[in-house]
Amino acid sequence: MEAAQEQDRAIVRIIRTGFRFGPILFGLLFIPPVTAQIIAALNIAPPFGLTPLAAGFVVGGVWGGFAQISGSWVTWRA
Amino acid sequence: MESVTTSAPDTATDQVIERDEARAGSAPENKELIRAEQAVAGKYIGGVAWTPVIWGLGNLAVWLSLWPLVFLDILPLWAAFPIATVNVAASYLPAHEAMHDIIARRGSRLHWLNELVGHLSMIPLILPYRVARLTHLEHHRHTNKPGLDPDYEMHGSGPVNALWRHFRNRQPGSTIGLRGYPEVLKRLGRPEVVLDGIAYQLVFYGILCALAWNGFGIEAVLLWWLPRHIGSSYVLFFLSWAPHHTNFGTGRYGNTRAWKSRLGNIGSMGMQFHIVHHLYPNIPITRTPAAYREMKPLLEARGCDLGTL
Repeated sequence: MEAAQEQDRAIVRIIRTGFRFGPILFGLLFIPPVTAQIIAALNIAPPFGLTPLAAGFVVGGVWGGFAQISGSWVTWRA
Repeated sequence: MESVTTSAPDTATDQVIERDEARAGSAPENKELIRAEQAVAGKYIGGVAWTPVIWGLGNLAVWLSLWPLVFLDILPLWAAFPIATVNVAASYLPAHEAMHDIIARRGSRLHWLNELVGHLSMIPLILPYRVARLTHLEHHRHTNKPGLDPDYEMHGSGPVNALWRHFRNRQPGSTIGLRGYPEVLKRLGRPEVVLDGIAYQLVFYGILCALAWNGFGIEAVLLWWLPRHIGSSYVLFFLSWAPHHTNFGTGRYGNTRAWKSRLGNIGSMGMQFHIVHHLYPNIPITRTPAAYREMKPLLEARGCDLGTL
């Protein structure tokens, strides 16, 4: 019983942590492949010899990091 | 589409009427007015509402069908995107009918259908039915009361300001608007319902990421992610802001209004007659225009804000 409760608490902690880091996770897990596919669809070359996926990680990492710190994707304050 | 019955209202409606009588005051003219109002409302309440069933399940089916149609190159993505956006925006109202047990009354043989439509209809919007229902009923109980009305933060000085506020409320650091719903649920003593929201979010973002890493990122953006942002803004604009923005009162006849929308009744999601919905939430949305027309002289006698409708 106690082990099951501890397991539930651990799951809740993981989920809570996941949501706390939602913006950076979104920036690193969703934005990079989408950016790479947009770059490929538009047939443009990323700067500095980056691959489309690497460019996506730069965009997603920076933007997600900004949203993580500021609490907003578009403004400095939530 | 609905099978209208004009029989005596059921127990739930009786309770609403008793509450309304208490709120309307004890003056004889008030009692007369509210009885006349109830007589009109009673004509439109009752029966099984089939329109939201067909609308809710049909709308979901159309949205789901867009995915294979796009993946198999039968429908171009540019054409599927606006359809998906309309689907997401249209997904709320059938569930809204279910929240008020309009499709089938609680305890009736078809109440399971009411709940089924409620749960399935809003899948494209990623709004769990139990979350939406509890917070929406709280909005009805405490319309326009700061700190109690879950939709209070949608108030804005104008349409652009309202959209901007809604956009800011959706940002990750916000604790108001839709992001304030978990606190509302805790206040209502239903913290377990927050888990519905967490589960929906996990599945939603999980599917988006899975699609993106399998080469369907642009499809994920244009069939779900972006339509959801546009659709939820549309829903909040017409259901939360437009009917209440000039009416900050908290009284029965002053907390919302009737208004003429430039986009017409369908374009404004039937919200031109929102005053009827707040007075008698059990009236199906398809019957509110007729109920409003019949009730209009009584509402004018009450001094309600009816705009130019």
